[in-house]
Amino acid sequence: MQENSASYGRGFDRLLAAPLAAYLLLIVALIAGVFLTITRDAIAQAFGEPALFNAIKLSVVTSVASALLSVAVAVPAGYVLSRHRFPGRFLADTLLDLPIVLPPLVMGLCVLIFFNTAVGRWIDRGLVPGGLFIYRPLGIVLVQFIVGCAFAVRVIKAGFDSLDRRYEEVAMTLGANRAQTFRKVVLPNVVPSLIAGGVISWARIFGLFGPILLVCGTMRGRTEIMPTTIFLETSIGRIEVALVIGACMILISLATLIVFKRLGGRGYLW
Amino acid sequence: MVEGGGIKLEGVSFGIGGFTIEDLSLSIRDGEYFVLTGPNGAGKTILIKLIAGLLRPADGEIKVRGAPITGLPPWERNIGYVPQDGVLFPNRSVCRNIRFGLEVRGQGKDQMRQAVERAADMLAIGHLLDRMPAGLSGGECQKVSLARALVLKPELLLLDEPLSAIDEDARDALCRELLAIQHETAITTIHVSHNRKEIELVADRAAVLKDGKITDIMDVGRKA
Amino acid sequence: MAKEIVLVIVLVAALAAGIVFFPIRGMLGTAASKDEVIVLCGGSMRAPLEEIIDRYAEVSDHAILANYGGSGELCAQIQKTGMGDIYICHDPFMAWAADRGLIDSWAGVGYLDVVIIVPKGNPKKIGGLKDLAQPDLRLGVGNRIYSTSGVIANNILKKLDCRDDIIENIRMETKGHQQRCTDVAMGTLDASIVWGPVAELFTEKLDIIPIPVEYVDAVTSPTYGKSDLRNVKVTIGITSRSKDKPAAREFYEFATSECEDVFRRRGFRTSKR
Repeated sequence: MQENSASYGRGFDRLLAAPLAAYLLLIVALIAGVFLTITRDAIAQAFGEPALFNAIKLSVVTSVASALLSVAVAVPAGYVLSRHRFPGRFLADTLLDLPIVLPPLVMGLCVLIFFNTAVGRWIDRGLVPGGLFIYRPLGIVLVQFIVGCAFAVRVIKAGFDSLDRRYEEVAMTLGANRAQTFRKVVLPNVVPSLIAGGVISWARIFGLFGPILLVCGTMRGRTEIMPTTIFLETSIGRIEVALVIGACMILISLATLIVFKRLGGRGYLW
Repeated sequence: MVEGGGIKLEGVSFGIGGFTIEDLSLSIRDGEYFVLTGPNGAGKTILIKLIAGLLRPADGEIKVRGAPITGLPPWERNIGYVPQDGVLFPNRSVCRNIRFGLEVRGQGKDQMRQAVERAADMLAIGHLLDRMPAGLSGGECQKVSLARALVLKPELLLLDEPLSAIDEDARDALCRELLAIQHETAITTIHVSHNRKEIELVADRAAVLKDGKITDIMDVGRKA
Repeated sequence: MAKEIVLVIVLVAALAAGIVFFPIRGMLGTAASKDEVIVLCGGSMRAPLEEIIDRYAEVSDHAILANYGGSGELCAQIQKTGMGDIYICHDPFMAWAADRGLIDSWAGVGYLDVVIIVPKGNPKKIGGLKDLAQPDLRLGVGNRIYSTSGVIANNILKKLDCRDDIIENIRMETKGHQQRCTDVAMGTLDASIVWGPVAELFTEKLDIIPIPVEYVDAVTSPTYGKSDLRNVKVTIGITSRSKDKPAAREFYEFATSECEDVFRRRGFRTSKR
C-alpha cells in the first residue's frame, strides 16, 4: 500500500482491505473456474463453425453502437438535468431510473407490447416491409440502448454536477455563447465522465440477453449475439463450448475495460 | 468626461431566494475605479453578475456609455469579469486560458500570440504561460484571470474580491499593480472588496451595499 | 486532450470497420423477407428442427430462420408481435394458439415421453421411480402447475407410496429442460425428470432411465383444457398471418410430411399409445 496515509494505524488499513481481498478472490475464482474447465476440443468445436464469429461480430458492433448512442443522448440529457430546474424534473429524474431498476426482461416485454400497438406496428413494419426491430438486428441496438442509456445518463449527469458552473459563467463573459461554452469549456472538462458513462453503459449491455431474446429471437447469423450462443449451446448440451464463449466474453470485457481505463486518462473511471 | 459615459444602473430590481434588490440606481463615471463594499450577503456579487449579464434584472435598465445592455446576453456585452478565485479553465494552459476570448472571436494564431504576450507582460506572468492552472498560487491565478479579461479590451472591468485569496504582504503589491493597469488602460473598473486598506489604496469612490440597498457613496481619493 | 482524440478515433475506426465487414444492410431490414421463413420452435424440438432445416436446404433456396425458446413463451410472442411463420411446440400450446386464431393449420409429428436422467455412471444407483425417494437426493422437475412435463411428473408421483419423500427431495422446479439436464450433467442435481428427446442430446454426460408406461395417466393439464398426457403431441403449425406465404407453406408441407424419421431418430415416439 502506498505510504500516503499515516504510518500509524496500519492494522486498521489491513482490516479495511480484507473485504476487498475477499471479493477480488471470489471474482478471480469464478474466472479461473471458467478457464480451467475449457478443453482444447471445446475450443476447436466452438471456432469450427462460423456461427461464433458472426455472434462475436454482432455482439461487438451492436454493443459499441448502442453505447455510443447512449452517450450521445446522455450528454444533452445529463446537462439539462444537471443545470436546469424545470417543472416535472423530479418525475423525469425518477423515470430515468426505471430502466436501471426494472428487470431487463420486463423492459423486453414492454418493447414487444409497444410494437404491437397501432403506433408501434407502424414504426416497426410501416416504414420498412421486412420490419425494423422485431426479429431484426436493429432491435438488438434498440433494446441495448434502452437499458444502457439510463446508466450513461446517471454517470454523465454526475460529471456535469461536479463541474463548477462558474466556468461557464466566465466563458460567457469572455464572448462565448451557450453552444461555444458547451463545446469549449464544458465538454473538455467532463471527458472522464463521458468515458465512464460509455463504459458502464457498454459493460451493462454487452452481456444483455433476456429482453433481446424476446424482441429479436435467436436466429443464427441474424440476431445471434454471444449470450444467445451460450444459451443455444447449453440447450443442446454443449456446455464446454458455451464456456469457451463465456471465456471469450470475459477476455473481450477485460481488454475493453483496460483500454478505456488507460486511454481515459487520470487513471480512474468512477 | 463623456456625457452619459460610464455605467448607469437605473431602478434595477432583482429577487432570488429570499433576497431582493429593489429599485437600485447607481452612476459610475467613465474611467473611474469604483469599489463596492458591504457586509457578507449584502448583494455585491449579485450586483456584479447583473452588470455582467449572468443574472437578469426583473426591472430597470443598465447602460454602458449611454447604450442600454439590459437585454443583451453576457457574450454580447464587452465586459471583463474576474471572479473570486480566478476560475481558470482547468483543462487549458495559462496561455490558452488567456487567449480563450480571442479564439472565440476567431482571431488568427499570430494575432493571438501577440495579444497574449502583451497581456502577460503587463501583469508580469510571461514565465507562467506554459503552466497548467493546477500548479499556480492564488495570486498567480488572479493575475492570469485578469489577463484573460484584459486581453479582450473590455469597456468595463468587474473584479469580484480579486484579492481575497492572497496574503497580506502580496496584497499591497497587487493593489498597486491593479491601479497601474487601470491607469494605463483607462478601463472603468468596479472592484468588490470589504478590506478597508484595499479600498483606500485603489478607489476613486466607493459605495456601501447593505441588504440590497446602497446606503452610502464616498469619495475616497486614494492614498496611492 | 490528445488522448481523448485518439480514443474517439479508435472507437470510430472500430465501429466503421465493423460496419464495413458486417453488412449493415441486413441490420436495416431492407433485405427481402418474402423468401425467408421465421420458425418459432420450442427448445426441446431444436435437434430435429436443425436436421430438417439442413435437409430442406438441399431442396430449396428459402432461408429458414429458427428461434428457440419455451413453447409457452413463443406462443405469447406470436400473440404479442404477430410475427412468425411456423410454430413448433408440444401440447397443449398449439390448441391454445389455434383457439386464439393464431394458427391456420397444424399437424402432429411425434410424441414426447418423460424419462429420469442421472449423471453418467449413475452414482446414486437409481433404477426406477422409487429410488428417487432416497434421502439427500437432489431432484429437479418441471414446474408442477405450469410445465407440461411438470404436471406429468406430479401425476406420476401421486401414484407412488413414497410420494412425500420424493417431493421433499425436489430442489428445483423450473420449466427449462435443458437447464435441468445441464444441472444433472454438472452435478448440481442428482436426478431430474425431463423430456426424453432433450435427454438424448446429453447422452455423453447423462444416463437415461425410462419411466414405465403405467405410471403416466391421461389427466387434465391445467395449462389449457384437457389433453392426453400419455400422448403429449409435438405439433408443427403454420400461423394465420403466413397461411398464404408460399415459402412458409412449402416448408410446412415439407416438415410435416417428409420428416417423420428425423423425429424418430431424435427420441420422439412416432406412434400413439
